[in-house]
Amino acid sequence: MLDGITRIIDGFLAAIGRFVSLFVLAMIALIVLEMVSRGALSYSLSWTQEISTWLLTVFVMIGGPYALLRGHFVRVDIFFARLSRQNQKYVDTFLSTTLLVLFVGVLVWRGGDFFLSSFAMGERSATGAWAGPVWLPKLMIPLGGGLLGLAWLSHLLHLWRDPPAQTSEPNTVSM
Amino acid sequence: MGDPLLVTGLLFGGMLFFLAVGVPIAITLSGVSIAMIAAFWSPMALTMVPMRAFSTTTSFEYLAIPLFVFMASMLQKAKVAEDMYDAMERFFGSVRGGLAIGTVLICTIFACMAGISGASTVSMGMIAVPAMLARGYGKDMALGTVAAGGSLGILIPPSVTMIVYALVSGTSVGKLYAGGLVPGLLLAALFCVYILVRGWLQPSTAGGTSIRAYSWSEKLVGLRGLFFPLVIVVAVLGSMFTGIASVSESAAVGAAGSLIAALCLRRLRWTDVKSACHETLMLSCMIFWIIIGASALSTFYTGMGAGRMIESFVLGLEVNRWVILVGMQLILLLMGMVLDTVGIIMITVPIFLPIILALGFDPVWFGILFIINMEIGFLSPPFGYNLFYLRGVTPPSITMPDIYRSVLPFIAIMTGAIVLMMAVPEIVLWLPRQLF
Amino acid sequence: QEKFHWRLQSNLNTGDPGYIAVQKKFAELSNKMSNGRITIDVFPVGALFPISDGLEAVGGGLAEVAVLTGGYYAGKIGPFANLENGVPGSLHTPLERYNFFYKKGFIDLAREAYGKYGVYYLGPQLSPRWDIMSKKPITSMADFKGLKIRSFGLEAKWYSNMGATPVFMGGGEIYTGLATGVIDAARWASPAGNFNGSFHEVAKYYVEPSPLPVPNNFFAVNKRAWDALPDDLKAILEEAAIASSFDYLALGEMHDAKAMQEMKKAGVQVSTIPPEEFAKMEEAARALWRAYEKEDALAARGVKMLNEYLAELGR
Ligand code: NA
Ligand code: NA
Repeated sequence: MLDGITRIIDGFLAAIGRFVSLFVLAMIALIVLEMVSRGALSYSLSWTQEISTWLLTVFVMIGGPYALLRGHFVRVDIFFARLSRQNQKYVDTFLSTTLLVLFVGVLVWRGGDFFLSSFAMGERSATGAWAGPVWLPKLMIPLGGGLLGLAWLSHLLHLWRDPPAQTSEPNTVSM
Repeated sequence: MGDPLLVTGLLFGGMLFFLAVGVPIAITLSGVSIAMIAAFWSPMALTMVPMRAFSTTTSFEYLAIPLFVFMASMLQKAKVAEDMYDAMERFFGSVRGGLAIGTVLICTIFACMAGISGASTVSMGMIAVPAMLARGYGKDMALGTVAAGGSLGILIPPSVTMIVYALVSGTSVGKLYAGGLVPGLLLAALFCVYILVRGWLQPSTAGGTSIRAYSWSEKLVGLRGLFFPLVIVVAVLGSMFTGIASVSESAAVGAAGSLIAALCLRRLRWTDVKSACHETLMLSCMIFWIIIGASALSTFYTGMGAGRMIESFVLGLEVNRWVILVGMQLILLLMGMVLDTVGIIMITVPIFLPIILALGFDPVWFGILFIINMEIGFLSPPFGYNLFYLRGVTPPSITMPDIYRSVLPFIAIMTGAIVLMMAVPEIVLWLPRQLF
Repeated sequence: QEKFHWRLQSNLNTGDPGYIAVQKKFAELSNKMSNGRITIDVFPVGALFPISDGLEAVGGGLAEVAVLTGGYYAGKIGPFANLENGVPGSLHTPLERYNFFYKKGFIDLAREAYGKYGVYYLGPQLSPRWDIMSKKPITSMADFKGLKIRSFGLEAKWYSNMGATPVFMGGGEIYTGLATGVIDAARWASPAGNFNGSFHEVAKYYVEPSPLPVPNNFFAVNKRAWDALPDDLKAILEEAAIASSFDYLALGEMHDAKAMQEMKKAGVQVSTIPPEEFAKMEEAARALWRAYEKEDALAARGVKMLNEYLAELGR
């Protein structure tokens, strides 16, 4: 059963992580588009800058949990690396989990309020001549918080069930 | 309101404890801040965490981070980075430490293109560290060079940190930019001297025994490897200086340039693009989630009245003006060990600047000393962005103690440079006087 | 007697006249007038929260009080926020603006507008002018044609209608943007603020008259914190806000005069748009904000109030 759960969580986070990773191409395209439009056509697109930063918000908040799952939340492993595997498990299960629960709680609770108040007032972009919905990127904060909790749950399940070789895959850049 | 000393002790004690036992950095910073905010401020004030998350991820200046990371990743996937190091080896391979010096040069050029530090550290960490390790360089040489070279980004113009400092302190941005150029080049030169000396004293750290001289025809063939990197550099700098792109936008020129370079070399494959996107996501998330936690932590510390505590300490130093100046820099060094740059500027500049002016010191000169102190802060253990970023891009065989050790000589060089600039202010002030 | 300890975030950096006026004539003055019953810690902009989230931060109690700028909240409050902030082609002097708020009752509208977000609108903080600095001389409406000018919101529309290309850019990018030519001009602050941003190093023309001669920020107070105050403290804060507001104008005037001299010494020239030409520009601006009438009820009441007062002034 638990295997099934971790498989579903991992697959879900990986799918959306891979999807939002492509946003970096969209950010590049948007900025180049604005430069060309302003330079060649003397027409500045009021929405490109803001949309590219909103894409960055999605990129970071929704992609973050996937990065956590893949071991990219780095640690200062001075003592950690010397701990036995059992003690490493305890550090993550008790200490890291406590702090992470606080973090996820605040992202969901305060971030949820942050989003809801924006949504309730129908907040629009105030920076440019376009009126994009600001609550949309704000929604990514509680959403990202929730996904981070899921990713951590899966990490803990892996930690206690998998053989040593497979789990601790810290900080590798290889894919 | 808690007692400032108690708050300071709990905040940094807690942070260092959780970091040391190995709780992930981003989780430590945010979790500890949240506990402290709830205990000493108010639960409603926890709203600052999502606010910091939102303002960090919607900042156009920070958008340069994923763009430069993508550029580096794409150049690596298309083997452009490999070709570049190959070419550098043909030219500098016969000098001990030649590649490390080349890396410092690339970091210096990178510093002219980016106004922030993280982007160049991560990009060069991806490209230069494996290239140097593969060519027989010692871990500490490879890591230290990239960490220190990456920190030049905020000293050599353009610099977002200088603009923040200028706005908070009311100093001229142009004078700061001009003031940072010579010290930036001086630091780069000192790094190179150090690498040469170290390579001469300890050949094993700087290219080992595998160095050889290449013939001129081999060198000429290798030049091809420098072509595309040079074109991209010219495109990024050119788009900026001709006013086609703003500083933040020019990062997109670099990213688009890397795709075009791959296309020209017929090495543009969709799987490579996808995996560059993937790598960009992983590394950018690592960076941003740490920044979010760190900015929540320094906001809390600012709000609890850290400024007043430091003010009373500095005012208590009423002695010789040079003692006060040194005292301030010691505070900056200490804060640099545990806090992030923007937080340190927010807390200290409003306090230090009036004192500096009252003591008759030049604010531009102090600004440059301040920025170099911030650069040291990027490197100084235990809390240093560049250290964490390197940890994120290097293979597991590199440990955090390796990284901590690698930066110490460079911190010593930077400290020495500060002393030199205190003794000879002209190093900083000459260029601004010529230009303004 | 109960004591109160508040945090205040300014909209400016330490050392700016607007920051000093808030520190001396709001925080310190209310402390003295209340015999120490209220103490207010002042923080520079961004120290506690990003100003774009000011309403949530004050409404949620992250800071009990803050100086905020309405222009940031047009996306939340609607076009009324622009009217509150000050629109081009309307009032010309600080006293006109003071009368508009306090004698004509505009402050009640503002309290209604911001009240919905848990924020008590204590009062406006009248600000020195917000000006344009340019790399090219601007002496007529036609000179805006093709001008890449850093601006946003209503103003961006205004310049765009005159043929300019408005470019949105954060404050930290303006200097480098002007230096490299990404933008030709920027609408930023008063002479002191522009001098502080070093814009005179990269843009040699100072445009007169000011497009926004009397803008204002405002003192936003957390509603619960406000309701918890006894009446005498409330009165003290109301008056301190007014004192601080005028002190900002006075201090600003001194700093601006000095900054203008410095900028002229550095080679900055004043580029004047003649009155008849500027009147045409103001007319175009009025058409823009008068159209707010159709957007929502609050904005319609605001436009009506402003139209009536302008008529009284014979404009
Ligand atoms: Na730079
Ligand atoms: Na540090």
